[in-house]
Amino acid sequence: MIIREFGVRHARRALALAQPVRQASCFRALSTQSTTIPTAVPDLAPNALLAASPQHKPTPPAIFIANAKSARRRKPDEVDKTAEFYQHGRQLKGQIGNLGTDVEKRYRPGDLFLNPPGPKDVTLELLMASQAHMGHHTSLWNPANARYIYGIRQGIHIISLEHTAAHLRRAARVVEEVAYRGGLILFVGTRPGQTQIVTRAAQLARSCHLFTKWTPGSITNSDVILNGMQMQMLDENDKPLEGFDRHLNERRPLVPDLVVCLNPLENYTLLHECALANVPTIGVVDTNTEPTWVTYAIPANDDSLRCLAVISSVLGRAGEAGHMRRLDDAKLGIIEWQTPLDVENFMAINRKLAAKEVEKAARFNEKRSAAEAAFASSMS
Amino acid sequence: MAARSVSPGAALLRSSRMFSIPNPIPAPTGDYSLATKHQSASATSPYPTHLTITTPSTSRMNGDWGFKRPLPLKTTTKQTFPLVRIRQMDSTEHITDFQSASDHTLTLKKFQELNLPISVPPRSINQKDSVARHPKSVFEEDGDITAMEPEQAQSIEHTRWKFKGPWLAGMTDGDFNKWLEKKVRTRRTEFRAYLKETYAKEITEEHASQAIRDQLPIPPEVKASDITESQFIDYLRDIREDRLVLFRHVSRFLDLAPLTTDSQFISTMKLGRPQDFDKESPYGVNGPPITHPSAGLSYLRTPHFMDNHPIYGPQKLHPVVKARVLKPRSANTGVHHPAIGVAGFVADRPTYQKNLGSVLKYSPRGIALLNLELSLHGGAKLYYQLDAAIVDSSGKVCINVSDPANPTTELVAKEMLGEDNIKNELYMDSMQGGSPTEVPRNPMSQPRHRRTHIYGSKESYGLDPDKV
Repeated sequence: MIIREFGVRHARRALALAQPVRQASCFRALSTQSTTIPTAVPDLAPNALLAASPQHKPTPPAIFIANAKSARRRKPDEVDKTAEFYQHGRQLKGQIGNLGTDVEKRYRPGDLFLNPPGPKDVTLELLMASQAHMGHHTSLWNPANARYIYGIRQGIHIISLEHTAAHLRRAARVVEEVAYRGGLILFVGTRPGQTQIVTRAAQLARSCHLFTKWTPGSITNSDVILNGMQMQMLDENDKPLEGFDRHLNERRPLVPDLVVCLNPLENYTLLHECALANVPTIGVVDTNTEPTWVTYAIPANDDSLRCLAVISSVLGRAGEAGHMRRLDDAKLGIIEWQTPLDVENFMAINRKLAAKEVEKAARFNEKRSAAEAAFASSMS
Repeated sequence: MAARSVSPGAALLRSSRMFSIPNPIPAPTGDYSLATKHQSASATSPYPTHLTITTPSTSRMNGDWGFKRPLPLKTTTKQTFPLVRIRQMDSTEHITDFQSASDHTLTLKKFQELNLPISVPPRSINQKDSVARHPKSVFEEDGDITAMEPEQAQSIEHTRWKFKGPWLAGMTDGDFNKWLEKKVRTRRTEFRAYLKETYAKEITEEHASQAIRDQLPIPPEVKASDITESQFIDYLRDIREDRLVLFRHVSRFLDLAPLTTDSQFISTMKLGRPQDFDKESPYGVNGPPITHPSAGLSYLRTPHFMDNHPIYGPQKLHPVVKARVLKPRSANTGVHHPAIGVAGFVADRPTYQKNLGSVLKYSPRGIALLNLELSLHGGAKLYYQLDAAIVDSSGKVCINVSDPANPTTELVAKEMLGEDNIKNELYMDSMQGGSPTEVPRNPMSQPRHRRTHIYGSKESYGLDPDKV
C-alpha cells in the first residue's frame, strides 16, 4: 500500500512535469552547460514548470551535440553563473574538504631509482615484495643451491629470504670495503631491461657498468683488446695528478677489483676470466645457477627486474658509502689503500731520475762556477 | 592445533599473496557427446578454474605482476582491465605460463550487474518453467546446508546438496566398479549390522502400532540382537524384491546423492510396490552440484526488491536487459530455437514463448529472432526480462529470460542507455534551430506521436489502469 501511494505521488509529479523536465534534468549529470532549471528534479514544483518561458528552447545535453555546429549560440537573457558556482564550490570545499581518508601510496615503481634502498633498508619484507624468493621450476634446479632453498610452492623452488638477506648484506659489506680501499668496481647486467638498473648502481658507487655483451678476453687479453684506452691518475682526494703521462701511455690496461654480475648464467666467460685474474666476483644466483662461478653468491630471483633493482641499488649504495668514507678519511689524512706496485716503481724510477738530474745539474753548476772562478782569476 | 613456530622469513612467506593462490580446480570434463562434434579449443570454459590476478597500472607498465619475471608488455597492456590467470609460475622452458582472465572475470562482473539471485534447480524436467515463475533461492535455510549433525542426515536428504557418496547415475562403468571394489565391498559386515538395526526399529514400530490398534500395552523394544538369522535372511529376501526400499537403505548407509527417474513405471518390480521415490530432491535429475549451488556468483537471496529509477522512482518491474540474438532460428540448419545471449551466457526461454513462432513472425521481435541480422554491429539485440538463474550440476550457468511483460520497461531501459532514437532526433532538430519542437505550455496537451516517449506514465509505475 505504501509503495503504491509512493508511486502515485511520484507519478503525479512526473506526469505534470513530463515535457520540460526531460531536457533539463535527465542528462543533467552529463551536461556541461548550465540550464535555466538548476535544481534537482524532486525539488521542482509545478510552478517552476510554468515559470519556464514558452519561447525557451530546451538546451540539449552536450553529449548529443558533439557534431552540432551551433552549440555556442547563447541566449542574451541567460545569466552567466560561473563565478557563483565557483564560489559555491569553494565554500563546499572549505566545509567538507578535510573529510574522508588519505589514501597512502605504499609503493611506486619509480622509487627504486629515485630513492634507491641501501644496505640498512634490506628487510625480509622488501625482499619478498620484490619477488626475491621465487626460484626456478623444480626440474631446473642446481642441487648445489639446496642450502638456499626453503621449499617448493606452485611448482617452483622458494629461496629462503633469510639467506638472501644475509648474503646481500655480506656482499654490500664487500662492495663498501672495496670502494673504501679505492678499488675499481664493475656492475654487469646484460639482459634486456637491466640497463637502467646497472647504470644507476654504477652511478651511485662511482664505478663502471656493462649492459652489453662482455667482450671475451677483456681481462685475460686486455693488452690487445683494451689497447689505447684512456686512463687518468688520481690522488687520495680524487683530484687528477700531473706528470704520469709517460706511465699512462705505457702501463697495462686496468682490471676491475670487484665485479658484480646480475646474470651469471649468461656471463660465464666474464666470471671465468675474473677467476683466472684473481678478481673477486659477486653474483645473483638463482636456483638454476652454479653458485661456485662467483666468489660471493646472493641467492635470489635473477629474472625479476624489481628484485635486481633492489639488489643492485643496495650494492650501489654500499659502494657510495665506502667512497664517501674514503674521501672523508683522506681529508683527515687517513689513507687505507696502497699505491699499485707498477705506479710505485714508476714513481721510484722517476724519483731516481729526478735525483740524477739534480745531481747532474749541480755538478754542471759546480763545474761552471769553477770555470767561471778560474776565468775570473786568470783575468785579474 | 597451535601453529608451529617458524622463522620470520617463513612466516612472511606463508602470509604472502603467492602462497595464498589456491590450487586450480579440475577443469570441466565437458559433454561426452561433444567428442564426436566440432569442439573449439579457445571456447570459454563453463566455469573458471584458476584465480584471477590483477596489478596496479603503474606496475603493469613495467610488466610487474608479482611473479617470477615480468610479463610481456605486448600482450598484457592491451586490455582495458589488467586480468591474468597463471597456469605455471615457471616452466621448463623458463616461461611464466599465463592467459588473459578477462573472460570469466568480466562475465562475473556482468552477471553481478544483472542483480539476479541463483535459484534451486527444478525437481523434475516437467517443472522446468515453474522455477522461472517461482524461483526459490539457494540461500533459503532448508536447502543451504553445509554442516549438519549425523542424525540430521536422513531428515534433510531431499533438500541438502552435499553428500559423502557419489551420484550413481553420473558414474561411468569403470568408475562404478572401482568404487564398488574400493569403498563398498569392505563395508559388507557393517552394512548387515546397519540393516539389522533398521529391521529391529521397523519391527518395534510395527509392534507398537499393532498394540495401539488392539488397545494392548506396548510391547518392549526389539533389539538387533534379538533378531534370529533366519528372520533376518527373510527380511533380506524381501527387500531384494523392492529396489526402491533397498536403494533407500543403501543410499542412507553410504550417503549417496539422490536419484530421480523420469519414467514413473519401473519394470521388473514386484507388483503392489510403490513405483516412485519418496520425495524428489532438486539434485536428483542432474546430480548434486560440484560447489555450493550458488557457485559464488550471486549472494542475493530474493528477486523481490524494488529498483529505483533516478527520475521515475521505484519501479514495479526489474529493468529489462539487452540480449543478443546469437543464432536466429533457421529450420534449414537445424536451429529450431534461436540462441539468445545475456551477459555472456546463453539464456533459456520459457516453452510457451518458444512455440509462438508463427504468431511472432511479423512483429519486430519475431523478425530479429527469425532472420540473421547482418547490418547491425554484433547482430540483432533484443530486450528481455530476467526470470531466474540456476547453476547446474556441471557448473554451467542457466539464465531464464522471457519477453518483457510490459513494453514501457523496455522504453525506460533504452532511455537510460540513450538509445531512444526519436529523442536524439528531437535534440538534433532543436540544435538546427527548426521550429517543430516548440514546448507546449501545458504538458498534457502534447502531440500524440510523442506519447510513448514521455518520462512518466501509469504503466511505468506498475499502475496499469486495466489491472488495478
